[in-house]
Amino acid sequence: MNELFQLYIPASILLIVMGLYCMATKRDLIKIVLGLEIMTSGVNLNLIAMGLRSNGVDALAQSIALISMTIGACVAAVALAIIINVFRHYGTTDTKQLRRLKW
Amino acid sequence: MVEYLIHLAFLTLMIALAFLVIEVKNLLRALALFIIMSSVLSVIFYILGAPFIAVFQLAIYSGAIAVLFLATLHTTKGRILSEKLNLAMGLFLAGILFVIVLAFSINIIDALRVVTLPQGYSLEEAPFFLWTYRGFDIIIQGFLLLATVTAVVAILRKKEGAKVIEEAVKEDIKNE
Repeated sequence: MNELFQLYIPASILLIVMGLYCMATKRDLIKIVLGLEIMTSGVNLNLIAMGLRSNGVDALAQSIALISMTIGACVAAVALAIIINVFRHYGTTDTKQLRRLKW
Repeated sequence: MVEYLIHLAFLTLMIALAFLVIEVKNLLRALALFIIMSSVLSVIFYILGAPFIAVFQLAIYSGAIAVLFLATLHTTKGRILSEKLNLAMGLFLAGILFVIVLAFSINIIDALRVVTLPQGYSLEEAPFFLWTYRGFDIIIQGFLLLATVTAVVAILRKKEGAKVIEEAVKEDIKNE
């Protein structure tokens, strides 16, 4: 196994764990979506590191990473739209204050 | 060995920036750090030999998603945008961006792209790969973007239903 694998795979796992930590512990909705994006970046890095070859990165790995990026962007767009809607409804983006089920 | 150290340096910088994104209290600063983190990640993709992904990383994460976050911050926490950024922090971030641009412009990064692994099917040698073999995925991505736009429009639409019901109730009360 190449030494670059040993460098990139733990780094990508670390990024995913950091994103997960951010999503689990932070209270602000925007920070939670930032954690989600960090997690997606870690997954993309993992995909690219897995596709390493002597003449660059394997084309299949690149296309899968591209799809992952598009899905990540779509998820972020929808999540941010929901955050704006939550702010219009409750007047805050703090998850601890979103207890009431008001409509 | 030098290449390994440079890979290590970029990875360390990116992970440190990701940690700062999570821990910085001010959301605008966290967003600025996220943009720098995405730029560093795009440099890493380029070094690894995936220039298409590097470009998409820059365009989508450092560009589009950052603008979406900025719009959300402006809508929900308008006061944050009027705060002044720390000058030292701004200079530090600008310095990192300058180094990235310089490294791209004078081809320092190209010299680092040496990977010793078995040969694969490279996207640079066959750029038509995406359109011929993964065409279905591209179409799905198009539909995905369309669905996202529809969802965002549906979420952010003005809620007229409640007003219509209120007006109908008022008219009923008048008639009675």
